[in-house]
Amino acid sequence: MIRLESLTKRYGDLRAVDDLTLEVPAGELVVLIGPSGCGKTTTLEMVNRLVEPTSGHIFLEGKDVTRVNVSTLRRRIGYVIQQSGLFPHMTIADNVATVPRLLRWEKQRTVERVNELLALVGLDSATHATRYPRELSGGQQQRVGVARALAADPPVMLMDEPFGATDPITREHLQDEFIRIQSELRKTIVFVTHDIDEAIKMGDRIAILGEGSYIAQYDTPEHILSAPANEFVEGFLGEGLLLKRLQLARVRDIETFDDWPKLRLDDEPAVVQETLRHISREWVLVLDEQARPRRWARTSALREGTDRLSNPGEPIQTVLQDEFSLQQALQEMLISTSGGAVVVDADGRYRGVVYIETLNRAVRSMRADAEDQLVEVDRAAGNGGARR
Amino acid sequence: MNSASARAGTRRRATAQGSRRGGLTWPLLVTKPLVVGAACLLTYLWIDGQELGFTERGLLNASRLRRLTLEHLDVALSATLIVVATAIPLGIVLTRPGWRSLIVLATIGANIAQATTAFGAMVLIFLQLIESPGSTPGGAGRTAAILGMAAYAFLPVLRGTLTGLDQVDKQTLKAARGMGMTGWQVLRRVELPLAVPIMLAGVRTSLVLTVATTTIAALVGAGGLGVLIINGYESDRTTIIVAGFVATAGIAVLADWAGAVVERFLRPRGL
Amino acid sequence: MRVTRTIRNIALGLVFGFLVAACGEDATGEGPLAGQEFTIGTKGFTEHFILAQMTRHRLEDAGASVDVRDLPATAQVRKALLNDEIQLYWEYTGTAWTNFLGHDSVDPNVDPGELYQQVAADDLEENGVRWMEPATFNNTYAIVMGQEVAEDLGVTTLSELAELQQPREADMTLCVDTTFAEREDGLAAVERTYDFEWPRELVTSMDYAIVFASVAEGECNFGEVYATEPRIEELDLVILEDEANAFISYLPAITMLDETYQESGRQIEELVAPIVERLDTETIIGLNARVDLDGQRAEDVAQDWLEEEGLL
Repeated sequence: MIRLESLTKRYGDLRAVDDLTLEVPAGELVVLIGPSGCGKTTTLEMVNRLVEPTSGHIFLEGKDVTRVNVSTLRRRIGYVIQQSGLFPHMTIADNVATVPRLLRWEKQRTVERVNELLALVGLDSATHATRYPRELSGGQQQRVGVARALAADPPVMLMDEPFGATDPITREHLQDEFIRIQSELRKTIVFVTHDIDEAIKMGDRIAILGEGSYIAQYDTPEHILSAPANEFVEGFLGEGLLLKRLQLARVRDIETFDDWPKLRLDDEPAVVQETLRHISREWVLVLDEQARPRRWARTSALREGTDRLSNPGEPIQTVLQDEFSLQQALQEMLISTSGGAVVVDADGRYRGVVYIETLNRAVRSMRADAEDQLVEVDRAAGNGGARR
Repeated sequence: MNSASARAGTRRRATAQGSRRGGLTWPLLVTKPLVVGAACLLTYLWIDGQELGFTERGLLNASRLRRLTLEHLDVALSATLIVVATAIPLGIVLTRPGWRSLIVLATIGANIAQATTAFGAMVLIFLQLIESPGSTPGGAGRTAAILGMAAYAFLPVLRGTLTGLDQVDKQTLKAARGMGMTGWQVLRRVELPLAVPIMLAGVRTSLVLTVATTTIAALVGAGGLGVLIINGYESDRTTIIVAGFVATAGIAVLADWAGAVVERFLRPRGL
Repeated sequence: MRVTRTIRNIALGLVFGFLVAACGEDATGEGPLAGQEFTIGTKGFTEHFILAQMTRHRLEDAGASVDVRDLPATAQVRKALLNDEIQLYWEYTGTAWTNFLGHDSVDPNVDPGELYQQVAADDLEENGVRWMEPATFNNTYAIVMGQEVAEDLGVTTLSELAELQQPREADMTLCVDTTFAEREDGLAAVERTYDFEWPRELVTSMDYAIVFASVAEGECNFGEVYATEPRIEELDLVILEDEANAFISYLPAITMLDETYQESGRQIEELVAPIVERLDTETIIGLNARVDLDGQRAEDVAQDWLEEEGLL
């Protein structure tokens, strides 16, 4: 757990960080985000005291580290920065081994740890360990940066725009991988970014900072998206708020309906005819023998015999699974022939269909929920608690 | 890792190694020494075919030339050694926080030392040496020449050290400190290795400068190849002047070459 | 110490780049040389500057237009004369004898006057260079030592010094100018005449300007200097007597190409004759002192002396 208490950094008359109090719960990833110059990087760098606070206190796992030996402190805090900050004259293995060596680990232990970490971040140590940073792609370098920060298994990590210098596709990739790693390791992380999408994606909580690291809102991404605390936050979240909300919610969170007409390839012809007679919709869903969605078929064509159930037709491109985001669901609906998106279970079997109306309802209820909770939080914390 | 970026990595690696090897191919390695050798041989053959006068016979013989060359190298290398041992530490100190304000002052000092004629500086040092009470007679010339040359060649090394340390990527340094390296560890493990190429370039410049300029050491009694050039000039013997010039230039070229070779080997891999 | 101070000032001047450029004034007037133009060469040391400036004043006084050109050393000045780039300059007999006429040494029994006769005749015949009457001072080499060294070693002549080699070899440290140890009429002449070898590791060659300081401060026990140096007396140095005439005599005289001499040589000779008569060893040392010790400009010293002597 990290607790910042009345942390202030002044440069002359300029208050870069002004009386900031913030708590990062153990095992959570807290994103600091805000307009450039708001003091988010300064705040981050005060945690490992690359910037010494003018006043205030830093607590790490309950202990005040504001005055302890700075090198010892830093060796207990993983640190990842933009453009990886790898040492260009050292091999990948040497880079990763930096902190273990500072801590005078045994050689064998260090070597094993390096191999373990390279594997963890998806790099093959046989081919990468002896290379130099410039022989790696930007994405690979960032992975090494993460591995290096994790080397001595620090309980706490600071990440300053760690994926900022990579192209969007690589960034997406790195983010996904890091989410996977974090779900295993459960480090306490402070993460600085200026990319709101990244914040929403990565953060267990997000602190939206204004000038002087003033906390405009500190909450889970869901709550911030559903109920921006004020105009500043709203402005910061920007356009496409609905889409961002959809990004957060999963298919499993919303209702699926099994009311769409469907036919299985192994249905008896009599059943087929009977079903076709009662269908009022233009499209019917065709499932295969294992009940896996196969294609959409035009009801009239089947009735008139110009299309047959067994025809391959155009197969369904994408089906939704529980962990897909609502944004993906929406995308699917928009391109779907029938206007609905098909949901399947883990084995690929048809589970139901979601409609655009369902999405709408879900978003509305998300918002209401969040507002209720905020009211509760406000009541509990007297004059605002985390929301100053 | 996906195979495309792995392949890209391999490709980058190949070019990186290619260019490193490219700098050390053997024709490049031997070209300069060969050219110098050829120049010396031609000079020898040309002088050998001439009828030599008294002064020429005294100066242009193997043992005398060897002695002059050794004197020359003694002064030039000692001066370079002193410069390396002083300018690099000074450059390091000046780039530490709290000392940076003195950089301008130090650079001005080093600039003045270089802008003054090295001869003037040598004479002043020489007079100071022989006048200082308790000095043992003899050898003042060599000391004066070495110190004068050291003052003269100080700037390139200081500047190389300052530039070399300054150009180290600030993100890299922040990462080093952020991971818990002490100031000394950052300097030794990150800053210095990354500054080495530019620092060495400064040393190389200074070495070449020193070797070429040490000819004036002859004017304060330190001998060296300047003896040839001065006597050749005053006795108007082209043979002696050419011999002095070829020898000095040859050593300067070889010093530059040696610097280049050392640079190749001391440059950290991965850069 | 005055001498060291002067050198130090020069060195400081070098260091900080104070350069004083001397420029000749254009003066044309009336007189036997009216309308004629001459360039006088100098070799870049005090005495030679003074001689050149005296000559310039006398020639200008006679209506000529005179330029003084500073050249680095003997070789360049002589070359300029032979190419008629300069029309006249002061040369020393010993220099001509060894450098231009190809002799390695001189018979010790030949006196300075006789050497002059021989040089003048040979140089005219072989090279077409005319020598005017020489001044009487002899600016030859001299080996000097400090008073303390003289008392300690008890030597007064070069032959006694040669004897010293066995018992006190380590004391024979010698500071010489950059060429003395390399030329045939220099250290080699001493060794040949007095039949000994000066250990080369004890000989330090340096710029002439710091030889005096080196001897005065004990960096060397002995030094090689020019006989007309005012600093010998100033520093209380003792000249080792060259009783076997190891050093060739160096009498200064104006030299010019014979063609030039045919045109205007006689007038010039007449104009310079009063200078030549008056310049004995004592006089030239005094004049050198005004420049080297008192820091006056050679040009001013020449003019002042000519005025004192009523020659201007």
